[in-house]
Amino acid sequence: MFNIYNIEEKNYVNGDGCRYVLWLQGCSLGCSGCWNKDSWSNKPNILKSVDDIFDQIETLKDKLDGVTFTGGEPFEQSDKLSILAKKIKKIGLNIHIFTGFELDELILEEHQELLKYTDTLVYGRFDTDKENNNQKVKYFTKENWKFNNSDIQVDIDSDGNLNLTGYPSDEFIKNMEEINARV
Amino acid sequence: MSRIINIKGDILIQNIQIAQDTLDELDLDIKIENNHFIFNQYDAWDMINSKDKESEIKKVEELYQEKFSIYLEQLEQEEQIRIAKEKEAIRETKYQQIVQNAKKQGYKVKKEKREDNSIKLVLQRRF
Repeated sequence: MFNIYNIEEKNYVNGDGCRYVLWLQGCSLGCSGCWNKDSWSNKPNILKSVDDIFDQIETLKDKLDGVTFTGGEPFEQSDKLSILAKKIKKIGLNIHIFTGFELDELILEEHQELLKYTDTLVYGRFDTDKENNNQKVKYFTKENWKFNNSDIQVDIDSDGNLNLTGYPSDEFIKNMEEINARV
Repeated sequence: MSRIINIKGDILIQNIQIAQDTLDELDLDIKIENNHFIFNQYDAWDMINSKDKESEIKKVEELYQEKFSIYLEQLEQEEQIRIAKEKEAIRETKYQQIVQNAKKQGYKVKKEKREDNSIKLVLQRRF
């Protein structure tokens, strides 16, 4: 079973176009600037099988451009992710992965297996003191997406609840909290 | 021999207007008393069949319950519409305020998608 932090079925700020985004739960890297610290713990959160996730993606595939694995640390669940990735590629969707590992750290056989199905990899320890937050991009297939770490997606659901993904500044988050409290 | 025939229905009337409409429609000698349908008449000549009156009250009650159910469904629909409108107003207010704040902070709206009563906004920072 995957241990999952969050799932967004249609997200536009985690890769190329409209994407199914899977945030894995659990990360041992502990990057200092990480804003998903809740996703570090390996304690079971949302548990789903490869088939559970794949079935959901397959249902949505006509509306998607691809699937993104992020986290948490995707490569810490790479054995199951590579099985999922292989299935996703078979239905014609591309795969982006956001990892905190450096390229030369992805040496395990299971890492290499997952990389076989990866189109775009954003990699490197997240570090706000470095240029581009130390996030680098490797294109394994065609270079069809320009990495942008400033876009924000705001989802307002039918009940008016707000969900924020992407790269919001502290000021933006504060304003969102104020709007939520006011309305 | 003379007697008073007094028959009281089983159901508790929750809407007097609907109960009265039901009685007007069926035009029977049945009244409303203490939120129940009743038949209460002096039977001077022993002409009234109690069983017939019990059946009539049952018929009144069935029609009343049918009308009352329709009334409750309408109320529920109206409530759902009211809630949906209220939620729509909340969504739109939040949407306006988010866009306004985003623009102040140097973002433009790159994409806006509305489906299934939800709004997705993709904001891009202007450099």
